[in-house]
Amino acid sequence: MNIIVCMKQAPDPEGPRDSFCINVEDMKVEPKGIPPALSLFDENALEAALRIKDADKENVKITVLCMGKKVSSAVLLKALAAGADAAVMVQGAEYGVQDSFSTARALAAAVAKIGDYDLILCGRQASDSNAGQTGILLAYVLGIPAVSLAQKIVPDSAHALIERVLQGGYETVKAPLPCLAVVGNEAGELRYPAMKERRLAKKKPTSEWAMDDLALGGALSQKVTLKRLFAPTARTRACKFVAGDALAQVLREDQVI
Amino acid sequence: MGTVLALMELSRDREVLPSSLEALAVGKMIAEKVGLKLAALVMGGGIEQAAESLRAFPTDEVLVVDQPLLEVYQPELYTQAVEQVCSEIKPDYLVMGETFQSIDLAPRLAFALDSGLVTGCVDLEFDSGETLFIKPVYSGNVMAAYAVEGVPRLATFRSKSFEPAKPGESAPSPVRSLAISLDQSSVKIQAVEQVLSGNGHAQGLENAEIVVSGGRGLGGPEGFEILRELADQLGGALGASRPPCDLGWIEPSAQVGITGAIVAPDLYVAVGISGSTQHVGGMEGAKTIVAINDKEDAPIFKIADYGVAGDYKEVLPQLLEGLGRSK
Repeated sequence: MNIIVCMKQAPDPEGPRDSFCINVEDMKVEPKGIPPALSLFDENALEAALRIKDADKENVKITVLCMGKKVSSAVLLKALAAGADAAVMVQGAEYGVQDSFSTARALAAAVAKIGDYDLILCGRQASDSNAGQTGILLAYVLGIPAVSLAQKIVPDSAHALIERVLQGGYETVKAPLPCLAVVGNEAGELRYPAMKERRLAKKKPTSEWAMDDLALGGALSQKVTLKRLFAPTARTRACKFVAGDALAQVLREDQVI
Repeated sequence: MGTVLALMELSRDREVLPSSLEALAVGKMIAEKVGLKLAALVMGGGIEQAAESLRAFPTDEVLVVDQPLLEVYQPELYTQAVEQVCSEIKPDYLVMGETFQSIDLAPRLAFALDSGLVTGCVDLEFDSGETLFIKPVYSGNVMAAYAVEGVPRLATFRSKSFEPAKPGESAPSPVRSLAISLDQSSVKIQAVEQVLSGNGHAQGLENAEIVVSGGRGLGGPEGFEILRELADQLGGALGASRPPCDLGWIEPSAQVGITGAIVAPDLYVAVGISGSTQHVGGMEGAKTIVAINDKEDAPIFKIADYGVAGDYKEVLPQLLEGLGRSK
């Protein structure tokens, strides 16, 4: 079984707010002092793939697909060390400010170039754009079924049983392979690689492609255009520190409770 | 004259969701600014009452698609249904609340209708004839304004960003049933079973006046026991930040944050929560925030009104005891 996990590189969203420098002129966010990382939710997608592999180590192959203007090898190495078998990075300067539609079309071309796949996994949203559309759009471009907010995926030879998170519970759905699952954070955190895995990761096959290597069939049109970036209104409050044994009384005095 | 279509979502007991009424208010705003009609679209099976209840709100029309096949959300059938409604109504805008359902449905509609979509919007701007959709990006560290190409422009709106629509004074809006034909042969995703608790919407959490939430700092599932005790004592709901849900310490539906429930209670008590942007985005609308964390420099204290820098295992028993004393 071949699994492709689409992973995006993005600055760690938990970096301090002032490290997200906004270049108003070029409508770009220039992270200062926070290293690029795997987009948080894509780590959940990789973990979901690794759990499938745990159950059938010999027959499951996981390829990580990472696309962007520039992909850091340290980021890819993390995915390989966690247990992916191979990595493909697609880089290109022209891959600039793009919407989910054009990203999905470019990813579809990269998936076609990778070739054989049974299952494609994506994170629920990128930790930079937070759009949460690319996975489903990719499935539609490829013409395969999509299941979103997956918390558990159990494939057999022809289908995948997927637990999909609902408000207040979940449902199990059955989708024919090949299919795409958009993985929710409920799937669990990415495992921490051991030292040995880190060393092995450097030896795993990594392909480097340019956007020009993909059969894109012309320019990618955009449906959503970024018009402006600005800083959010800072919301800080004056925190009154109190001792634990005084908290109930203070809240009562201030008529909070 | 064009139309703004607001897609209404129903709870499992077939009541219109608060987030849909917020979307209806957004639709009204767009309709007034751009000079369009507003129509509410409600779909499902056996939904006469929900359709009737929508007539009280100020819209030009309530559109109803009532079919047994739509009784439960099925992604492919719902996509077909909305697509057919759009080919008849030809809306300029299609707006929805951001819910687990629309997270799944909206991108499918964007593809089917070949239109742009902006998800999780919190604001709108009307700039010389162009509507800009505003949403937090980089998990709330930056704000972005987007224009959308294609018709209808699609957008989902983060709950609690807008006041919900209120029933109007005027006569009930006209209601119209739309007949659509669904093609079941194209359905590839089969539902096997549903495992659900409650009415399917975290009303308990989203509408609670008091919310007590725990984070990674609780150290394990047992930490939620004393937290539950505190929630019960205060008469509030129990929530959590993302890590405890992902680690299986508490059910995923307890999650507060931009990927969980968005809450704005009178009192929010954050215990062992560091204050990640993704969590803060789901609770900073609370009137009063109390944070308990053993790290004095935890970001959560920046947005808290009251803070206790200490070990929750010591602080919570003290708090419970203090609350228990006669008022």
